[in-house]
Amino acid sequence: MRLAPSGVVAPLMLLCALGCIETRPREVHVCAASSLAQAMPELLTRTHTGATTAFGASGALARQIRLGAPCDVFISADARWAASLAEDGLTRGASVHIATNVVVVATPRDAPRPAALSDLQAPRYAHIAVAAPEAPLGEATRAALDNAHLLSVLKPHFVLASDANTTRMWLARGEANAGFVYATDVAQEPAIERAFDVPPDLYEALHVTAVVLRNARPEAEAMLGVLASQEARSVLRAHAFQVDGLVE
Amino acid sequence: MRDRATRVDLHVDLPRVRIAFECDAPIIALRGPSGCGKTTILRGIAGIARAHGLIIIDGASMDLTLPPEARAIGYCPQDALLFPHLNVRENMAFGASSKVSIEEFVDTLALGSLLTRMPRSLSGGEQQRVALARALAREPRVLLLDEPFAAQHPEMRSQMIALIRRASQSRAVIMTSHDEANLKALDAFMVHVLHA
Amino acid sequence: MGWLSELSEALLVSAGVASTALGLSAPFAIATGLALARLRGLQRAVAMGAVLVPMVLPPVVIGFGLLTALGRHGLFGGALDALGVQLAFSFAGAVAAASCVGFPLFALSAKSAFESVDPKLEEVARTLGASRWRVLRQVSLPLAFPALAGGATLFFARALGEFGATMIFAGDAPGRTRTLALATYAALQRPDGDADAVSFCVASLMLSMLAIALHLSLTRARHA
Repeated sequence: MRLAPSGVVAPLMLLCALGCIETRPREVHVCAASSLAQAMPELLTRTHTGATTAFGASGALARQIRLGAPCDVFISADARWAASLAEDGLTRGASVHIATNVVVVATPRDAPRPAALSDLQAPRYAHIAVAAPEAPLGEATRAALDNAHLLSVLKPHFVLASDANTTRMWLARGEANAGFVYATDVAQEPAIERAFDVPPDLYEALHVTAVVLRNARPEAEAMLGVLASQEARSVLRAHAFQVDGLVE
Repeated sequence: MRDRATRVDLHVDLPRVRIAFECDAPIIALRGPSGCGKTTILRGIAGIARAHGLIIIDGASMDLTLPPEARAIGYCPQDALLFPHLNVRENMAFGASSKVSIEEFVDTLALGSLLTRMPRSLSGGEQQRVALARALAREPRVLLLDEPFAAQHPEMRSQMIALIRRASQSRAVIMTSHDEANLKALDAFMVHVLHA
Repeated sequence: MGWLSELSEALLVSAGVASTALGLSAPFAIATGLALARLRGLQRAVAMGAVLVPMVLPPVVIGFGLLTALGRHGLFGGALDALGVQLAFSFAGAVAAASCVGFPLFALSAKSAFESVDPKLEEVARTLGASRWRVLRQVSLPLAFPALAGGATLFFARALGEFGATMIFAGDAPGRTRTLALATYAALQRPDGDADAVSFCVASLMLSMLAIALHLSLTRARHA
């Protein structure tokens, strides 16, 4: 039985071939950490800036850039990835700290909320979602709990996720009673509620950092200015990023 | 005097073959052109082809609703079909009832030197003889042989004829063969199967 | 924690998960393969479809599926809780994830294995007085064994490499559920983690080669 007459196959193959042809984007291409996925489109609209965007884990994006991905501007969730690229001479000019992401303790919506880190010792918080120590979120969580002398007490209750996305997802599905996520995660996920901010003096701040890449088009530098502008900052603030205290 | 009355009126379902005959002989030979259904009839009696009708052998009726393993038959197929993962001795012993002695068959069929060999290293004729011994070892009431002489040397044939004749003293033998001379030597009752 | 101890920890978890999953799944996969080989018509089509589902689903989706069925708020979560059984976020969960993704491979291999056994041999065995069960044990299984071993190796390799479903359903607890694949992912989240990631990959490769060597020795042709 002929399922795919040549009249169907040939046009399909042509379509696939066309899809593979790369056209150089005529706008600045921004590769940004996933935590900016909802803020960026609004930011670009409010500042009347044209740019194409791609989102992903900061580490994955950085690796793609090393292997030649056509990014003009890289925005990482914390400073170390941008610093790593700068160290290897893959960037152009200084990096700009455009916002700070805050670690919060969150719970599934309508679940009992703790008021402080010490409350997490209560039996009702039998399962606490925490990201792996390799992820910036996980590193910050552990540092905070360690400095609060609660790490060894709470460790047996950790449900360990590989990354921030998984942590957030488990919390949203009620697989954990409480968890450590980004403030921006709470803003993006209706099924979870913020309980309280983890005191910032307990962990090293997570600086959302933007940097222009070495082979970027000339217009790329202007994007840094846009990201540091007042309009951009008000959008970022609305999406739960911290923008107070940043240099002008 | 043993009751050797045999009456067969068999319809095999797939492929469709019908056969009917009556006789008093211990050895019955099915004759006919290739493809007329002789093997199918043997498979029907063995129970591996579904069939209905009547089978009375040696005065005893055979229950055609029974699966092959419950019938007192021993089937020796045309292609020997030895178990490739078992050696000759293990093949022969496969269906053997408790302490039946396979030594008798070993000597008569000249299988002594082959006991530890694997089937794939045997010639067609040797495999055929092992298959015969394997069927006999089950001590069946009915022995079904499909072209048992086909691959044999003349020297072996007389041995086999003697063995089959001896076996037929205590059981019925239903066989197929193209070889007139051998069937005459066995004094077989000929049943001619015609292509329907 | 030193790089070497991290490596050996992940190695043990991977090997442990894959082996446990294989041991638990083998009887079911072989039985399913046998059933698939014997079924005909509509029943066969439906059964094949059911077996193929985990093979066509992305592993992450399988992970979500497991969470939905067996998570704390899942369909059977309450029942499991009552029995005191914790599947999600545990070694058992990793075994479950590995089993789900490996099962179709093993079952389909088993189906081919049983189909490759000459049915005439099984018939002859029955004329020699062997019950269906004895035919299975003494004829079909021994003859199907090399291909079944092949299916087991496929299962093991797939289980070793399982990432998405494990990440979602079992979590990333070092020493308990952090397999070599998850350890590699974790290493890649650090700028300086490339070297570690490579060493985890090499370890995975060597474990796989061990499995292949075992497979080859098990399936050395013993008969024509």
